[in-house]
Amino acid sequence: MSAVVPFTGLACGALLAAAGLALWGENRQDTSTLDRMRATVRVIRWVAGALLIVGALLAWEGRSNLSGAAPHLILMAALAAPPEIHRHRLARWARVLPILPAVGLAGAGLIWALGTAEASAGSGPITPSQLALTICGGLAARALGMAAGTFGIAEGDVAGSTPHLEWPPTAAYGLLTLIVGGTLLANLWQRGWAWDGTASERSLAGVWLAWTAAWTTPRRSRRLRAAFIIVAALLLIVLAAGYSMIEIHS
Amino acid sequence: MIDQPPRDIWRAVWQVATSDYLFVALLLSIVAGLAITVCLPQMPVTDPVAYARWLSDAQARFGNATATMQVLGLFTMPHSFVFRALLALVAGSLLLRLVEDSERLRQRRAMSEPTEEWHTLADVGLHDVLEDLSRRHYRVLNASPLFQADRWPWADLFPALAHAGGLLFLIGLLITTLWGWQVEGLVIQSGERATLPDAQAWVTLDRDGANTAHSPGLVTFFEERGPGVRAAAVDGIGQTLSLQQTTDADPVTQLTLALTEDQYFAIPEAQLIVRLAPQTGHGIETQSPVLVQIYRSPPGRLATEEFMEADMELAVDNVTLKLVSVPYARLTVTANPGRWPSFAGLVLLGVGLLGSMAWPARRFWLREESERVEGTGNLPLALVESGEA
Repeated sequence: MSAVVPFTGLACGALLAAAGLALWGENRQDTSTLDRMRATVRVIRWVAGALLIVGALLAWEGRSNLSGAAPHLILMAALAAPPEIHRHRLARWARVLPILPAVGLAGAGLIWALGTAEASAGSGPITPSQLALTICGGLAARALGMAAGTFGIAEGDVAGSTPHLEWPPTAAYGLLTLIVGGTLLANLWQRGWAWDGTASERSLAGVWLAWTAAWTTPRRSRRLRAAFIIVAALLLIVLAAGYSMIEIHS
Repeated sequence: MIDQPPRDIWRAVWQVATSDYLFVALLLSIVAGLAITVCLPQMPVTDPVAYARWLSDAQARFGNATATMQVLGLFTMPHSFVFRALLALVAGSLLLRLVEDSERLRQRRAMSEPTEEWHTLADVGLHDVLEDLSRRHYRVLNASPLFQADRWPWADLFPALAHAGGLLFLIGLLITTLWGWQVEGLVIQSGERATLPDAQAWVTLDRDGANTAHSPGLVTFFEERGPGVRAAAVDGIGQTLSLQQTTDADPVTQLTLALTEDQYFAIPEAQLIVRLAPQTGHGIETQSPVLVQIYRSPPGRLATEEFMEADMELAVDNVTLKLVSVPYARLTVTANPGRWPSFAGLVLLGVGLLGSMAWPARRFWLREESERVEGTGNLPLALVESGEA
């Protein structure tokens, strides 16, 4: 069994525990217990993030026999796991939403690692574009959690409409813009042609356009914008997890 | 009877044409088109062999639905009328948005009307807030009783740059589609001059096979490099012998071969067959050694063999085989008059988008109503929190 599995498994369990605590703790009435619960959830999320970082580094280590999407999924989960500062007044049930993308990614990474650890012959060297896209996917997972949380923001919460709380989608879109722009500029410079038309380029362009659509949606349509961010983030995560495979097949 | 003001239809059309929602809908339609191109194998348009392979794959995968899907243009999405019309609509929308951006920049010192809901800000005095804003270098405009504050008054420049960049990029793509061309897989050997589609353009490869020279306006991209040879043979009295690559080929006195794979030719008058086999794994591909083997025909027995690493001569009986190194390159040659508009468009688009992210247009309004301060728009966090406290 690969050393990746115990780290990812522990992180997955920790994140599930954090999700459970977040759900259960929000039903507590006394403020001191509620604050302690929230602090515990934050600590657990940091620990899970650290475990996942170790898991991701091990997955990319030369001796690891993991291949395919597992290292990408684990790194994305590591970036999505740490807590962010909440300034929204979220509904109780919505407190768990920002944790769910990290749980999903870590779980998928664990299942993939268990499935491929024995069968595969080792992961190939990671290219800078793959790494950048995976980081972008991790930021998109954070944005996904935040956007999902938008559906649980209490009515009349002014903070929900302010743009300065949106750093994960901004960072994901900014990095994606650099990746897509860099790819097109390199194509133009080297080949004289911006658009090669390979499946990987078409996917990248499609995901960037989806993010642009989400970004352009007016902030006053908070839920529509959040829905578009969720769709764009899901597309980016799928692309980041499968980009190496698309690159090979195109 | 109440007189209703006449509705300005052109204003309504303008608002729809420049609305964010229409732009988002257009972008999402293009995303759907691109998703189809990723999910469904697209039909190769230039290569007949690739087309035949694609057709058999598509028929195996989609069965009887293949013909219907082909009629619907699902296999030629990037070349379809609908996809191109969508790109044209995006370009039109970008142009209108650019006009609106320039109008906004022109009127940057004018107050605008808030459209969003007002929120009461508790525990703050309007005078203190305004003082704090000027200390933080906000620009505050006053049209009593309304105050408009801008965090970065010049932030409207970035959306204009992004829209101009997007438009320029699409214009570049249009120019590329109309007047650009690309030749893929062009094999050329050093010293050779290849003439390209419009008959005016040409490309040559230098002696080492490392660089190209070409007519102005072309871009060459090396897909592959490798060794090649120019072969000639003479007999014992110095008379040139003819060489033949296949049985139905015309005999020639000199043969130039790109060693993309093993190559064979015959010297019929000497009854010899020559095999040239490039060796892989060499650092500089154009200088890879070539295994030269000469067989007698008949009976097909190896007469001699040697590795060629530079120009060489090889003798068998009275025949001397002269081999000169002539490296080859497989190139993609592109003529793209839309290259520089596309390049400039991408740079402007990137600067505009990244600038919008770093310095977003953050505008809000304040007013005093019944001795209470109210705010709307993109309020700073400190004011929001004072409102929530």
